[in-house]
Amino acid sequence: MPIDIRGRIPFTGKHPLSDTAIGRYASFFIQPPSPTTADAHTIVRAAREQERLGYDSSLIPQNSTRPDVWACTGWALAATKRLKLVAAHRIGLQAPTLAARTLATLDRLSGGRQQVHILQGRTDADMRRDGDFLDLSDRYRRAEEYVRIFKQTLTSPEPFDFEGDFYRVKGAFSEIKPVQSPHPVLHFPGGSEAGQHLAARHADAWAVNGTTVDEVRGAIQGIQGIALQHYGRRLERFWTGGFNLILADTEQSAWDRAEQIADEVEGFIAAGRAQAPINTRSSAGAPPRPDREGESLYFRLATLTGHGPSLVGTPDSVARALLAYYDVGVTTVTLGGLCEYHSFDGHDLITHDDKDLLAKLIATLRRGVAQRDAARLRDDAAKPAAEAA
Amino acid sequence: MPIDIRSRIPAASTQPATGEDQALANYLDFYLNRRRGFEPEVIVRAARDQELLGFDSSLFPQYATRAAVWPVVGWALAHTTRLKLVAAHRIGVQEPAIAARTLATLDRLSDGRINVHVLQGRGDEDLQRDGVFISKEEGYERSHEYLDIFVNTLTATEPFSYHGKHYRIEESRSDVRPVQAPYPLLSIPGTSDQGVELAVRYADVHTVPTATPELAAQGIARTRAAAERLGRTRPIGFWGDANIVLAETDDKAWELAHRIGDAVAAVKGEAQEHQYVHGDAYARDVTNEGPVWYARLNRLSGHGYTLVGSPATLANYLLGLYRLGINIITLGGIGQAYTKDGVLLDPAGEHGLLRQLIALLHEGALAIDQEQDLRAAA
Repeated sequence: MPIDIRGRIPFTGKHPLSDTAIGRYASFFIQPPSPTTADAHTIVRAAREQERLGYDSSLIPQNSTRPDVWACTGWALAATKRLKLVAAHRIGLQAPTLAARTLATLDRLSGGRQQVHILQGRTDADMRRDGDFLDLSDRYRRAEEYVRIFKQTLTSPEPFDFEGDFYRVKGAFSEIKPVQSPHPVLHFPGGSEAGQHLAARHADAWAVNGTTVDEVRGAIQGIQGIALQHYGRRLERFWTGGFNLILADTEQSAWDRAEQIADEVEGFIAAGRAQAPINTRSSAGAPPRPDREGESLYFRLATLTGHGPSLVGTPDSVARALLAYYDVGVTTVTLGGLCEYHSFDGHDLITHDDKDLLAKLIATLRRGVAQRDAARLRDDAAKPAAEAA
Repeated sequence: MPIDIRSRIPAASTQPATGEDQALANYLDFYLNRRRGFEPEVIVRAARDQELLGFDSSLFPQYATRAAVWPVVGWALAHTTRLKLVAAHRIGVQEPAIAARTLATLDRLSDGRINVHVLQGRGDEDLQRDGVFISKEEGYERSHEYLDIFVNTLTATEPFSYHGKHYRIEESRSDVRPVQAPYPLLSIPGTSDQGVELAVRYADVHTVPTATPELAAQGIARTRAAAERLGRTRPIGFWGDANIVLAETDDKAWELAHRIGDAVAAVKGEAQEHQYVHGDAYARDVTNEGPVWYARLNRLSGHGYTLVGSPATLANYLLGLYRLGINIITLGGIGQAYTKDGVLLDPAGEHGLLRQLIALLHEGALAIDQEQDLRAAA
């Protein structure tokens, strides 16, 4: 299937850490402490730039203190014509019928470009900040009810009732149906067992719980097994969500830059000028990763800042690394970092050359995917003849 | 507060009339709720036209079976530069911190152009579709807690916690703050005692009738008395909703109004009385009509007050209400006929007449403001 190349939309612009090229590159990974407001110019600029560079979709992530995600995806959709927007959406903070109508409304407004990533919420503190005090043990039971009502609202041709432990509705109905049929792609994460079962039951797309190609292959096989055995279905799409890119014309310069950025970030943190890591990954207790793994994976920045892993190299070598994921079943890949370098005062913190490299990576990746898809079609076509022979 | 001429954002499209004349058809589409569907082109075109006509703001209403309000308001904001958008928002369907943060985000993105109209809901059936099962009494009790958290989320500079009967949060804070200070204009409707109290406690603006100056004055006086009783010192604004039948002269306007009334009666039967007239208890009780108020059409259709006349007559009348203290005035029921591609259907020149009326209102209000400033200075 054609690969979905995904970016991320930042809420606000960045402040460069210093007035050097490395200081500018480092500004994606770490920032001085400041509240994350919603800046229309940054959102519009990022969305349009990603559309221009060839991204298929873009995610707006969520956190309890931050701007509302639906409002920002709507703003990005209004500024673009082709880009799909993926809204991170937490269960439990509003009526599932309203959340579904919100998704359907944005999908209709945008001509079929709104998707959703359905989450539980990062931490207990995060949930309580917004008024959700439900025990972890109950959250998945509630999630099951929420998702069922959510999906039914998107598709039911008639008003319906639902009577559960956590939700009750009477005559629920949306006249507004989404454009995408039967509904927009529903993404789910899922590391825990309960999370994987929820995804296995309901997901169109699963955010893969794994980083290296081997981990990803194993994780995909695992969840497909659960989906097939327990629920009689297969998941269609697999999303590796976290790569941040460091690209250059040669391998050496790319790796040099990666180390220099990490040094700069380390210095910034040591000088007490940085805010706390933004994405505290639920990898507490997991063994720390080595700085480098394989040809392209780089973890030092992730370890320092809580960001996802970096992919380092030239457009060709990074495309090769990404195709290895495609080969084990990944259909959707986030290529972050380089698409999020907008400064707070409306400029770009990367150069035209950087953008050209990114565009080249995207083109190379698509070519590689197309070649593999064509080869697969040829192989499938040859099979019956071979079997008959 | 300065005058704010308000419209409503349509989302449904209009089929060009066959047989009936388009001008009459447009009014009947409104009074008989004949428009259906959801067309992004209509929303965008209407918002932009309203901006050009001189409207200051426009409301998108809520229904539990229709489009969600925040995204449509956001879409209209993204496609305009000056128009304020008013989001109708029901209590009890989202956590208050989430709703407040949505409001703040849209205010930021639009550079300070969103207002919010906070509702109990459109009746039990509408609420139950979205999972809200609560008695009216408990509903108001919950609304106080909701609004406490809602306003705090918009204004608190430190994390705050809240432990109420219906809502609980811990160390809540919002990184995103509204542009408008202290927060976007917040209106609350309601004619019951609890509704008036809720408005007095939390709203910048309360709603009052526009049918006659006496009814308007009554509504204003009642709210102000409640404000004094409850110890509110900052002034409260007033919003009057009207649907208008507009023509070059008063005679033509009344002729048109009667044709609309007859056509609606032919469909619904003359004796039809609506229980729910735009949530307002006043219309049922009053038997007199006012100088511009066509009460028959309200009784027949269930829609809010219909006011009839030429631009000059209606401007005069509405400026009278402005003098009383109603500074937000909706001119609804007109100028909303668009095909699904966003083409305006307006053979009778409703938009031109609206433009005239709005200009007269803005000029007139300015003169009244200056007059009141001079008097205050003296």
